[in-house]
Parts: sequence; structure tokens; C-alpha cells
Amino acid sequence: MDLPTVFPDLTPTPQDDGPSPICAIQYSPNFTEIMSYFRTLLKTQELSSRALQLTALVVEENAANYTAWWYRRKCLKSLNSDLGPELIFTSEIGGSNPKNYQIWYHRRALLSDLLGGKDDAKYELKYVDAVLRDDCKNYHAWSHRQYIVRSFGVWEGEKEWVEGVVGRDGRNNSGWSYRWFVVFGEGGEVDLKSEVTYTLNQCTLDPHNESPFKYLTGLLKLSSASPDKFLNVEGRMEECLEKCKGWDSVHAKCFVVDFDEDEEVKKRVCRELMEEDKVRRKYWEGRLAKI
Amino acid sequence: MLFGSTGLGASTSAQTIVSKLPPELKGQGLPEPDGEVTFEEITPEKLAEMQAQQMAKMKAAAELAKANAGKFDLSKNARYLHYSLSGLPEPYESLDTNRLTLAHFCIQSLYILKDQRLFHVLKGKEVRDRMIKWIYNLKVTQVLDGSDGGEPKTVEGFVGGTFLGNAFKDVFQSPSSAAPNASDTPTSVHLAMTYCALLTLLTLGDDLSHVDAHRIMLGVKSLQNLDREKDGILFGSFKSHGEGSESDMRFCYCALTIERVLWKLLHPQQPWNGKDSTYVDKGALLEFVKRSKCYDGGIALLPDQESHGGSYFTGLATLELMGSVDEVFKDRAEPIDWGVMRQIGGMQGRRGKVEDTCYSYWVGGGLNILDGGENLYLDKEPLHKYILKCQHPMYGGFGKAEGAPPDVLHTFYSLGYLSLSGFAGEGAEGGLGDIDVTLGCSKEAGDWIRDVDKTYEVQVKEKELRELQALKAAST
Repeated sequence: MDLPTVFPDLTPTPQDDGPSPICAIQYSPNFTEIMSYFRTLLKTQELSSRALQLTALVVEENAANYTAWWYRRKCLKSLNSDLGPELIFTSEIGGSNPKNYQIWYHRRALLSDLLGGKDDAKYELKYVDAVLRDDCKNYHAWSHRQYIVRSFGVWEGEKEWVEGVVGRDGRNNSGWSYRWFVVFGEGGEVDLKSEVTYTLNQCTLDPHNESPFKYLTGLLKLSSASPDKFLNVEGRMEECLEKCKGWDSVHAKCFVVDFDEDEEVKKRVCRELMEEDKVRRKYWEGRLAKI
Repeated sequence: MLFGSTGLGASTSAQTIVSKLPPELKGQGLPEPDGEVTFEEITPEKLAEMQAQQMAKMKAAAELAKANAGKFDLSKNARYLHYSLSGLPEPYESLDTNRLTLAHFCIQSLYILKDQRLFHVLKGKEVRDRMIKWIYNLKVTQVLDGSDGGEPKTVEGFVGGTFLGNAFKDVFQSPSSAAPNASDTPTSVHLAMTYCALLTLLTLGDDLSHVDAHRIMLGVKSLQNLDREKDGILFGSFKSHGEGSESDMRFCYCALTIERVLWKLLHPQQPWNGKDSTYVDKGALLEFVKRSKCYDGGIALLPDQESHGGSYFTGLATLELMGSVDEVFKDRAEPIDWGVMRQIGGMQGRRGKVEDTCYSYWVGGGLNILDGGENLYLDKEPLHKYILKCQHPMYGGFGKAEGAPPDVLHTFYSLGYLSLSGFAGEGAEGGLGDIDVTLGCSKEAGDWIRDVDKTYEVQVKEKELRELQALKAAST
């Protein structure tokens, strides 16, 4: 896009950084030219298809320019543009900037107009799947998935899906956190017993994996905080403690210190942890002192 | 840089080539040496010797860097930060709208280094004043038309750079105008940039006399999500700006800190109580933080999400400023457990992730808030060691991991943890400059902000003492 040809009637606005700027960036000539035309447009507030094209260049140079995304949405609205191609454009820019907040926000702003119902929402989940395949811990992608599931009520199948994610990598804590969301997020009765069983199995598979132990801790604390809300997990605590005592793992031992009622046992395990988990020696010392 | 000083420079090569040219090609467009210059024939033996010398030089440089690796290098770090303040390379283009955060990181870092080029009372004044002017130039006014149901009003705040194309204005020359400049591009105030601007201005010794505290707080207020029905899980949280922005814990922290900073200007006679809801609705904010607490004792950026080091700090600092830590965490052991478990040697930001220097501050700072500044829980020695491994041995500055290129964000958060944990090891024997951990700025700026909590008499006495100290410092 040759800017002087497309905008013959506009005078580019140079950046005025004053006599002694700080943290001045050594822009490429291309960046400077694009931004100079964009600055003029911001002043004239021209909402046209050539303005829309220019915002594409701006966000390609700097996807974090929130003003350009905002201006782009104004153009789209004013031109009554088809948002389908815009979603594809957003996916393309997102592909090279998976951790950029502005692109994810733009996507969501489009979707609020685009998604008609559950089928559309499920289709969007496939996009999230693709991003998570490249980076299974991408915070934005998980957040986006929650937004879609919550907004469109597409809870069905999510628990099985995330079981697959955790099954492939039990140490993916984002998966564990998401499991908590799908189990408790929808509301309604939760079969806490089967949650405990699933989690305990995961602990058995890898006793050195912190994620299931903390999930288990969360479950048991929740059930003791509101016993009537969930199915009875009585008896399971003993089973959990029994198993944890059999594992030579920091996380299993931490569970014992958290829940065992025998103070002598707690103290002994704390002392073991002081030796074995050296980086947290001071922490365990503190826990010991509090028993 | 390394290869610029190899000694196998261009002229040597040219001479070598010319001297080796077959007679029939001499004088065929290639530069003939002046008659007086005689050339040493570069024999293969000579070349091998030169190369060996060169290798030895490079090896020595590498060994020197290796020998110094892991040692705190005050002067290289200061040089890196001054260099960054004066200009940043092209890859920083993606931060063009966030230059104020970069300035904040550099200036707070130089404070931690007790850098005299910038912070000497007299000698640094001119530089500081120029910076203060540039920052005030980023102040914008925004007219809210009342479409949100409220009265139309003019609010104030900062943007992160000069990307909008407004003409440079010197606040010291023209009085702070009530109405927006007619030629200015309409824009929205930005919470993170306003946070950085205020704290950086204070650290540079400004007294915020060119901001309108009430108008800034009206801008902050306009960005809180307070429609329970429409905002859903976001109820109580803050957007970063009004041009279509995500909302999360980061901006809650920025909003509340801005109010904390300006409290003194808004209520000169009243200690901060963390409960007043004239601007920031504290009840709604508290509810949001409560809902962002995770099952594992950590805090997420948004309700239902995964615990994260960044939101751990911003969430805890938000609670600390409202005096509500114990209301949300009945037992501090839970968030403490989450924090200490993040230590591998260095700190990770989430369970199962790799170490990254910035979480030293996010998680270390969160724990510092929880234990009242005692630093009881983390093992400082391996953490310091990890941070120092990430210091660039040649250029200074810190990267996120060993071998990663340095950047100003990781430099600030690395230095921030070193400061809060009392690092005074080799290279920093005199100790580092103190920071206000919760507010994320120099202790001096923090003291200015927290001054209002003290009685008038104490304020006057402390002011006198400060002036005396400044005089003393100026004379040295």
C-alpha cells in the first residue's frame, strides 16, 4: 500500500516528542510513515475503507496499539462491514502475537455480534483448541474458553475435554484450574466423591506433581467449609492421608501437614520436609513452630 | 561489538588481497598503495599467528565475562538504564503506546542503584526536570459526555507516549488548562500509564502540582465496572482505558494505587483509611478480589482463572491498601503456601512453569506484604543467585532467564526483589536504594504518599529533616 497514493489529500502528522524525549524508540521508516498517516486520521476522524486498511497496517506493525484497534472497530461499524473476514484477520494477527491482550479483546468484541448460538460458540472453541495446541498454558486462550463457555452455556463435554488435556500432561496446571471451573462453574450438584477419586488417581500416577495435590486440598477444604452443599466425602480423608503417607514426595507430605490431626505426625513430617525440601526450609520451620 | 575489534580489519584484508594479486591484475581498478607504504607479506604462518592472537583476545573477553558472571555489576546496570532512557532499539516498537512504563522501570531502577547522575540533588536536577516536563506532556484531558448515565464531565489522566500526534506542550510554561486543548486528538486516559506517570514524577522529586487530583479520580471512577447485571464476573474490576479494553486485577491495582497516591492532595487533613468510596467503590472492588481467589490459595487475574504471580502481587497489594487481607484470607497460611511453592531456585509465575526473574518481585513482593516486610519465607540465596545469573555479563541489565537479552521490565523487577530482600552482596556492599513494595516505587515517593497518615507535627519535623539531608547531600 503506497500511502501517498492512497491518501493524496492528507498531510502526514509527524510525532512531536519535544526537545528531550525519554525512552525514544528507533522506529523503522515504515513504522514512522504508517503512524504519521494514522495520526492525521485520528484528528480528521475519517471513517472509510482506506482508513480501515491503514489501521490494519498499524496493528501489523504494533498489535498493542489499542487506539488503532478502537479506531478500526469504529470504521467497521460505520462501514457496516462483514465481520466474518475481520475474524479471520484477527486470527491471522493473533497467530504471531498469541500473548497480546488487544487482539484477544478485539476478537471478543467481534464475537459479541457474531456468535448466534451454541453451535457458533462450539466452533469458536475449536479456535481455542488450535491456540492451545501450540501453547497449552496460554493464559489468554484459557480465559477466552471460559468466556465462551460461560456466556453461551456450552458446558457440555468440557469436563471430558479437559480430562484429555490433563491426561496428556498431568502437570499442566492450567488444565487443572479449568477442571475446577467446569466442575463448580455451572452450578448445581457436584459429585465430590468422584472428584476425589479422579484426583487421587492422578496423585498416584505422579506423586511429585503438585497440581493434583493442591486440587485435592481445595476439594477437602471446600467440603469441610460447606458440608451440606456437597455429597458426603466422609471416610475419604482417611484414605487420602493413608495414601499420602506412603509417598516420598514433598506435596504428599505437605498434604499430611495440612490435614493430619495427630500433632506428633505433623511435627515429624515437618522436620522431614525441612531436610528434604531445602529451598523451603524456613517455611517448614515456621509451620513446625505453629503446630 | 566483539567482532569490531578483531584486528582483522578491512584495511588489513585489502592489503593482503592487493599484495597477493597476480602482476597482470595490479592497477586494474583496485586501489594501488602509495609508493611510500611498504607491505608486509601476510604469509600463512603470519595469518595463523594473527588469528591465534585474536582467538586469545576473544577467549580472554569471554573468560572475563564468565568470571564476572553472577557478580552484581552496579555500573554496567546503571549504564544499561541510562542508555535505555536515551533511546531504545526497533523491537521496542510494540511498546510504542507504553513508553511511560519503560521510563518508570528505568527511573525506579536507577533509584534502586542510588544513581548519582540522575539523583544527585543538584547535579541531576536539570536532567530530572527535563524528564518531568516530558512526562507532564503526556497528560490528557478527556470529556465524558455522560452517555453512561452520569453528568457530562472533564477528566484527566495520562497516556503512554506521544503516538497520538499532539503538539508538545510545556506545563511549566503554560498553566494547567481547564479544557482540553482544541487541537488535541480526543483520547482516553489510561490507568496503567497514569499509575506510572504519578509514581515516576514523585520519584523524580516532583510534587504533582500540575495534576488535578479530583479530575484524575473522576477518570479512574469512570473505568470501574459497576453494572452487576451487564458486567457479570467483571463486576467491581477496572478497565485500563475507555477505548475498548479488557478488565482485570492489574488495573484494579493501578486504580487503587492512583487513589492512594492522590489521597494527600484530595484530603490533606485525613489519614488514608482504604474504605472511602467517593471514587473507587471499595465494596465492589473487594468483592472482585474475593472472587478471584483460587482453590489453591493463589489469586487469578479474573474470577475462575488460574493462579498467577502477577495477579498474586496486584491482588494482595490491592487488599493491603484496603486493609482487607485478613478479610479475604481467613488464614494467611494459604496464600503464603502458594507463594513459597513458586520457588524453584528462582521463582516461577505459575505451577509447572519455568523460572523468570520478574516473578521474584511479583511473588516475593506478595509474600513481603503477607509477612509485614519480614521476608520470612523465601530462600534468598538461591534466588539472588538466579537473578544474578540473568544479569547480562557484557551490557548489564537483566533478562527473564539466563542468556536471555536484557530488558527494562525484567531489570526493574530483578532489582526490585534484590532491594526488598536487602541484597548487599559483592558489588552492592553499601546496600541498594529502598523501595515501597506495595506501591511499586522508590521509598522516597512512598514516604511522600504516606506522609498524610502522620500527624501534622510529625510531617513538619520530617520535612525539615529531609531538607537538611538534601542540603547535606548537595554539598557533597
